[in-house]
Amino acid sequence: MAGDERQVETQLRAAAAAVAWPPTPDLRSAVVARIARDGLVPGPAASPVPSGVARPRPAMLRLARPLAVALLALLVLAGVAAALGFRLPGLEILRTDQVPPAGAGLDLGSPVPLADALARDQPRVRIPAALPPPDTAYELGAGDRRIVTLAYRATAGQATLAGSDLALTVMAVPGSLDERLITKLVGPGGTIEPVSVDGSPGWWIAGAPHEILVLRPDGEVGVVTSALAGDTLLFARDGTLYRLESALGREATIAIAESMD
Amino acid sequence: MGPDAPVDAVAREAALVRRAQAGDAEAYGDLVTMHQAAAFRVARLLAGSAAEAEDAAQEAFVKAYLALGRFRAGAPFRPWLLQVVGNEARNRRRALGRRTGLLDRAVIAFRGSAGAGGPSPETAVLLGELRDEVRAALLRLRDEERTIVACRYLLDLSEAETASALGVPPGTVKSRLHRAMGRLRSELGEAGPATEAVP
Repeated sequence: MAGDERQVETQLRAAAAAVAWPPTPDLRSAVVARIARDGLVPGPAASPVPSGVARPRPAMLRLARPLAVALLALLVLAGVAAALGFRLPGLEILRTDQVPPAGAGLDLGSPVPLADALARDQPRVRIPAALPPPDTAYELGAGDRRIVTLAYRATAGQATLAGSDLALTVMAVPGSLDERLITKLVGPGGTIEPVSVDGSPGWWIAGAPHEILVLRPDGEVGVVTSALAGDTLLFARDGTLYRLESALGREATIAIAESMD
Repeated sequence: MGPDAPVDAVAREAALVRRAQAGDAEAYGDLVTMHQAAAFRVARLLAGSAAEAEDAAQEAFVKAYLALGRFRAGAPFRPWLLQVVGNEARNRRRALGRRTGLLDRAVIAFRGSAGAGGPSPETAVLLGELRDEVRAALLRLRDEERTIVACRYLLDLSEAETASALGVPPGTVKSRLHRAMGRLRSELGEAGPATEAVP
């Protein structure tokens, strides 16, 4: 039996030698750059690494950390309030010189300068000429999975996307669409309507949260989710899929898309 | 670095680990270069697509850097790293899994192929590179067995590294591998019926 097993091993190793693995990407550059960019330093305190089997902790210990964080936050707020002349619990006013980036907290990626978002070919980011510059540009992922999202804050009186301060996001994803995939993705209550965007086919999806399957440049099928659940205009141009999630209505959104260049 | 690495290579790796623990990012970059192929392939096996594997491997290297303070000096670096890579890849796979009902239906509709109980499209692509008879035999294994065989023979990981990467005890690797080899022996027509190991 041992001899038989060795024969199987030999067959496996011979077969494995013929496997053409995909080329290993240059992880070193990306990792070292990220360490430098984010100022990362080794240390157990910063580590989110799962350590295998988690040891059960008593309930008191599990509660201790959130309680400590809450207490610390209260003390900090009290200090801020005292410094500003307000007293607890009268913390109705918090003065700040900085407004958070539009769409902050929506898991759209990391904010990047608009010029950086425009600098790369994949995906090709197009700016709607019909709008002022976006409030914030976000980048998520890398390589042919890099997704850029432009976030537009709602102006006074404008409708917002649920759960946000945004009226519109313009997402650019490397890849293209297939109508057979699109129709699989809208849940009950949602509608898909074919539309024209400057002569190109597009789809207006309304009424239900959905995900999008995109055909990536490498031929694989990827899922694009959204932190929001608004009505969406989809269209593709020159190898980039555009997804406009909008609180502005179908016609206005199509007009915005047609002004993208 | 595998279990059979030469002594000077082991010493060099240990020196790089010490420098990286002290915050030397370039030294850590050298460690990434040494292990990125194994990390990427493990991630490729566990995470699914090449793009997902690249993201998982990169994220794992960053997390491993942050956790270097926990790394025990003198221990082999690769099994520890592959554990981090395996965790990251599996977590991503699980996150994707929450959407797989939808995704699978769509992919099946798109590609026109069923596959209940079969390998994922990504695994099928990997296996497509193998010789026909070996591929056919591997496809008939259970997924958990196929993964272990792939770690041991396609990735050439040790049993300890396989256990680390898959997050299972070494004994589980042994028993599943034994079962899988028995099935393969039978499938490849080299011996009689497969034997079952005692778990």
